[in-house]
Parts: sequence; C-alpha cells; structure tokens
Amino acid sequence: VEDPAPQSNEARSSPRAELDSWFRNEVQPHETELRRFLAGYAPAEDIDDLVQETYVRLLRSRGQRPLFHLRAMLLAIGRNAALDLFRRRRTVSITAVGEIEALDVFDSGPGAPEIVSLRQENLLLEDAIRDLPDRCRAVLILRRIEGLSHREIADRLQISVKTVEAQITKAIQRCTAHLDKHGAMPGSWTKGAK
Amino acid sequence: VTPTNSNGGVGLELPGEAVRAAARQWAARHDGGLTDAEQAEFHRWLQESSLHEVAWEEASGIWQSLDRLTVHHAIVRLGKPKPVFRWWWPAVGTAAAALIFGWMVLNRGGDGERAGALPPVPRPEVKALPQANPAGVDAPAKASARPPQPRPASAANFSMVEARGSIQRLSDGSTVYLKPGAQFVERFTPQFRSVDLVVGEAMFDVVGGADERLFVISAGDLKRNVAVTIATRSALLSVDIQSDVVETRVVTGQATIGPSQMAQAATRLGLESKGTITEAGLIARVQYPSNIDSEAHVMPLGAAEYAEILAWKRTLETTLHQKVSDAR
Repeated sequence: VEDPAPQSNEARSSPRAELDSWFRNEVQPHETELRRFLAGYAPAEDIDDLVQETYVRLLRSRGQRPLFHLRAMLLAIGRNAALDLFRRRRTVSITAVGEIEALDVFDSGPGAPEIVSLRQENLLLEDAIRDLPDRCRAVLILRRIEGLSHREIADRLQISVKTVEAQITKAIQRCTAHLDKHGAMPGSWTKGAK
Repeated sequence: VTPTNSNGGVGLELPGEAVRAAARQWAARHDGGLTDAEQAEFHRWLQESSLHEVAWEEASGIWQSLDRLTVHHAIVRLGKPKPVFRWWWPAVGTAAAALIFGWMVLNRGGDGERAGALPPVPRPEVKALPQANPAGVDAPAKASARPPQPRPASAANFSMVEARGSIQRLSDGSTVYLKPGAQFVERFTPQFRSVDLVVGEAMFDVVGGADERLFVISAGDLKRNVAVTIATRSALLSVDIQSDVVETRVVTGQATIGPSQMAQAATRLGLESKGTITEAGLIARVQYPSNIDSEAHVMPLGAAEYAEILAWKRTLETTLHQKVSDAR
C-alpha cells in the first residue's frame, strides 16, 4: 500500500525549483521500477523514450489535477505510452505503400511515417465509431468535431444532459472494447499481462 | 478480484470492470465540466484507491485519443449518416423571425432621428444574432402577433430601390450581408469558422489571412442532413436557398461546394472530392434538399448577375455604414 501523495494547490502552481524538487523526491525514486516494468512491454532501445514520454504525460496530468498514487500512476501512464507505441508500430507494418502516396493532402506537419501510423491508428478508432449506435455516434461527433457543449448537444438532439453524459460514457466503453478486441491493447486491461 | 499486470517483476494492480465503468462515467462528467463540489468529489474518488486513478488514466486517455480524430477521418468514413436529428427548426426559425421583426418594429422609432441624412429608401437594419437580442426578448407578445417577414422568391424580383437587409460582422473579420428574411447562425469552433444559413439569401465576404480555419457555410436543414455545404478560406460569394436548389455565386476567390454532411466532412478534410471546386465567376447549383448523391452543377455567372451582386453589396455597405459603426 502506498501513501497518497497529493499536492496542494500551492505546490502545483509552484516555481521551477519546487517542481524540480517534487520530481527528484517523489517521481525519480520510482524510475528503476518504471524501467523494469516497461521492459515487459517494449524492446530495450525504446525504454529511454518511453520513460521520457511517461514523465511528459505525468507532468501534463499534474497540471490538470492533483496526483494521488504516484507509483501506480507512473506505471499506468508508462503502460499507456508503451501501448500507444505498440499500436503505431503494428499499424505501420500493415500499411500499403500506395496509401503513403495518397497522403499528399497533409502537406505540412509530421513526416510521412508518423502520419501513416497516426492514420492507421485512427482507422481502428474510426471502425469503433462507425459501430456505435446512432445516437451515441451523433453525440460523439457533435462533441468532438463540432465542439458543442453538453448543453448544446442536449438541445440539438432533444435529449437530457444526463443522456449526453451516458452516451459519452458508452462511446468510451465501446472504443476501449474495440481496441481491446483488435489486439491494439496488448496485455489488455481485461486479460491481464500479455 | 483484480488482475495484476506483472512485468519485469514489477506489479501494477489493474482495475476491475466496476471501477473502469465508474472511471468512464467520471470521464464523461469531467468532459461536461465539473462544479467545485463535483471536482472535490472527483478528487476524493481518485484518492480513494490507486485502482481508481489507474482506471481514470485509461478512460480519459481513450477519450483524448478520440480528439485526434477530429480533423482527420472521422465523418468521411462513417458511412451514410442516418437522420438522427429532429425537425424543430421551423418552429424556432419562425419564433426568431417574429422576435427580430418585433425588434425591428420597436427600433423604427429610434432610427427616425438619423433617417433624414440618408436617401429616402426603406432602411435596412443591422441586427444582432437572434439570441442576443434583448429588445426582441422584451417584446414577445407584440412580436408574436405579427406574421413572419416574407422573403423574396428569387434574386430576380430583388430590387435595389427597395433594398433592405442587414450586415453582420463576424468575430474573424468576415462579413455577412443578409437579404430580407435570411437567417443565419454563427457557431465558430476552434477548428472551423462554421455558420449555418437557415433560410434565405446572404452574401459572405470571407477574409483569409491570419485566420487559417476553413470557413464552412451550411445552407439548409442541418438537422436532417440535407444541407449544402460551401467551404472556403477566402472568397466573396452569395448563397441562396431556394425551394428546389441552393445557388452559390462565387464572385472572388474559390469554394468547395457539395451536398449534405458527408460533403461537409469531405470538403473540410480535403480528403475526397465529394465537393465541387468552384472559382470566381462561376455559379454552382446543388439540388435541394440535397442527398448523398447530389452534385453541384457549375456554370458561368452572367455579367448581369455579377453586377447585381456587387451593386447590392455596395448599396448595403453605403446605406449601412453608419449603423455598422454604431453597432461596433
């Protein structure tokens, strides 16, 4: 059992020095463990990158809310980062060369390999979205693509805000299950370690 | 009993389905915005167990990854959209028209003071968006007693001598010139400068430059996915919803025009040529209500039409210059 390690608001809005000290005293002690954990998911040459990515994501989360169970969060975030990497690698390998040529619409931004992997990863999620029930999909599109608020979606679809929430909950569940089912989450949450 | 993920001898206890379901619910609630009390409750829940926090990480991560879909492929590949929206616009539209009409009636008195300085033509009005219209809201009873304003059947019976309409400045610096009876709604998002032309005819002077967002005009009944979509970065064009066709006249610049939400998505993404590229000096007609197979028929814009559009714009600008300044 680990000690909850919440930061006060003061700590979260603290200057650089305090951030450094938080990182040194509370995060870095777990690094060895994090590396060993990640080694079960990714080849050795990826571990450094994954640790960096984990820290970046952790800091992002820290900016949004207090973090309570640092060790578990580090491992969970590291695991997600490793899964994202896996998902991209896997989908890149099944990408036909012809598809790269069709990518000229993206005339700026990341390089082609990065685009291809993102694109393939998105295809999986797209499939998930396509399989959603109509109302659920409508809510998702209005929220994510049109950028409407829950209230605005409720008004437009003539449903309650609670129903909007329920549909979003369902969308997250379906998409998770879809990624799970298609092996895009190795050692998935439901099945335990790979 | 919760599964444990053990890698390299390091164990991460994984949440069970009940906790994951709770985390998904929190993700949805969080997305809608939490009150301070709910936020506190949320943090208590996270603090309760590392399993909660781990489950939250998963659920919010999935929700965020859906964000990446926004501009890339989302709607294009979703298949033909089914009519999930309902038919409540006519009622709202009529009410809005009545409110605006009421507001215009009330405002007429105030206009009298400046009327002498202007040509003796019926005065166009600069109106705010219907929902931001306090005078109209104050006078619902009066407004509801009036019939909605008629709109001209086509450009042909539009006469400059009887010029009436309004000018609306948008937050990106673009300008909308509305003919009488035309109604539109600005609903810009971080990604798109979206506007809905619900009824009537309007001219859009879309400015490009600093604002790189695509300007997307949806003309017609969005709720039934029968809208015609006009997408552009910079153009001067007029859009007219008629009974059986939506006409888009492109005066300057270029626009992509096509039917329904599918084309809307495609043109926005630039992935498929579902829309027809239309350039300056062309007029595009799309059958209305549109369906997935509707195509834009493009033909040259007649010199007379071209001149008429520009003259109308100039008249509105001249007549309304004073009022636009006032409104800003």
